[in-house]
Amino acid sequence: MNPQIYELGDSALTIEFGNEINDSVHEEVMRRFYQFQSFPLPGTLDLIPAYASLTIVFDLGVVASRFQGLAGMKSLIETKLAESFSAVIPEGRLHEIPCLYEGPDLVAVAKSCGLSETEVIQIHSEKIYHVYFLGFLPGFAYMGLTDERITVSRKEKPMTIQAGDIGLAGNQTGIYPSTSPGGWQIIGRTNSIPHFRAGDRVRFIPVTT
Amino acid sequence: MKLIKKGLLDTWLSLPIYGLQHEGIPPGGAMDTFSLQIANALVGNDLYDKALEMHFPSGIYQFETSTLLAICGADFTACIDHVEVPMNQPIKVPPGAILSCKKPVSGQRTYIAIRPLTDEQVSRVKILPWSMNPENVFTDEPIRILCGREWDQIKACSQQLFLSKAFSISPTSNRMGYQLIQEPLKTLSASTMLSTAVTAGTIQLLPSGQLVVLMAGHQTTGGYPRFAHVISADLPRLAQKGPGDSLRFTLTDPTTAEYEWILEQNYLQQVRNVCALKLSQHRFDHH
Repeated sequence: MNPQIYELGDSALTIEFGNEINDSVHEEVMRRFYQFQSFPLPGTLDLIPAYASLTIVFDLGVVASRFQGLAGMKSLIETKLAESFSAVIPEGRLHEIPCLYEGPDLVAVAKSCGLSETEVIQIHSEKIYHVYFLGFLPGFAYMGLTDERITVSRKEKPMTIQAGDIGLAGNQTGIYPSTSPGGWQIIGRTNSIPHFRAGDRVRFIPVTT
Repeated sequence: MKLIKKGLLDTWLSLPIYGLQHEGIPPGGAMDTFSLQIANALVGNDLYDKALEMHFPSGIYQFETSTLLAICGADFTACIDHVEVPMNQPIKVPPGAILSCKKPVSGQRTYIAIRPLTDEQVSRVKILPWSMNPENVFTDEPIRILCGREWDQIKACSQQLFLSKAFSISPTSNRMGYQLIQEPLKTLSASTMLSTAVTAGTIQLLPSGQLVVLMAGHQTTGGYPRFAHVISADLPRLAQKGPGDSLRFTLTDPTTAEYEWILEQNYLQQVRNVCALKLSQHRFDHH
């Protein structure tokens, strides 16, 4: 699919590379993230990668007065996307995170998946996850994809979730970096929250107290 | 500056700080960046200096040194030593002076910019003889919006309703976002979308058909359809609206949004220039 570029309000453009969570699409997101980070477009304030898109936030004063506004930046991006960018993408680090699988929702998750708690723990901890992007809270990493067998829906009502809690939502998993309301199903917790970057990989190591 | 009594939500804030959104860290900053900049200009501060953003009931503060200050944004009947002082005007206060606000008159957030006067001992409150009146910005005109990526997910009748009706702001609104009180909008399709970046001014459409306008304290990403976007030039005006206030929206185009932003920035630059000149003349006359 050819990337589509659209306006996100009057001072940001989003480049959409696809509409599904997919490692090859995300690799392209990260390649372009590093391209525009290494060779920033004029007036760039922020580059925000997501599952299948990259958003560039501009200083509206700069792009409007000197570069024909967002329309001008859009055609500039099209030119840059047409050029292949072959620089090496920094390889994501592998974080091994000790996890105490004693979360308040572990029993309910096991029940709704028709599995035993031990099976949920085994399935969650045997896979290496990919960090797609950070959002929601400072340092919150959206990781996936979890095994189909432990796909669960979000809670109906958000609860207070503690810093270090590890949760599931849909086919994603994540660690709450700070105490916050949230709707994820909490299956475990950790006292080791690394500084994540998009593109990192994560494995959970089951531990006991 | 010494805190005498804590306010509801008093925070030292600057313009938004960009560059860390890929770490999930939002730019944040003051809600009404226009009033923030006028206040800073009036006291001769730098563009990126912080000012005190206050909501009502606001805190009570005592100045420990001779200070130049300016009050901009919402009118909370600000007083120095219990005597009402004008807004949008530089004021010199002596050590020991107490700043308090009596009652909210208009707007939601007031900004106090301060600058310690190191080369001058002020003995009584002195209001300097120039002011900046930003009334042309804080009008009751409809808030201008641009269509969002998912604008077309709303039925045409609901689009018309959105553009013709007045909305009020829900009491649950805060610095992160304003929830609008309205009849749920009718959507065409319940297509799911992947989480992607959002900005201040993004109007999200919740599954219930309700709308939320993201404000200065917004998160970096979101998974709700992006129905529309408030233009940057109108965000300060929206920031001064609060629970119970009524709002109207009108469609505009990117060229107008850019033009209005440039106009606002040029005006702010002129204010900075004029204020810097006035302050330097004043200093010259004083010595």
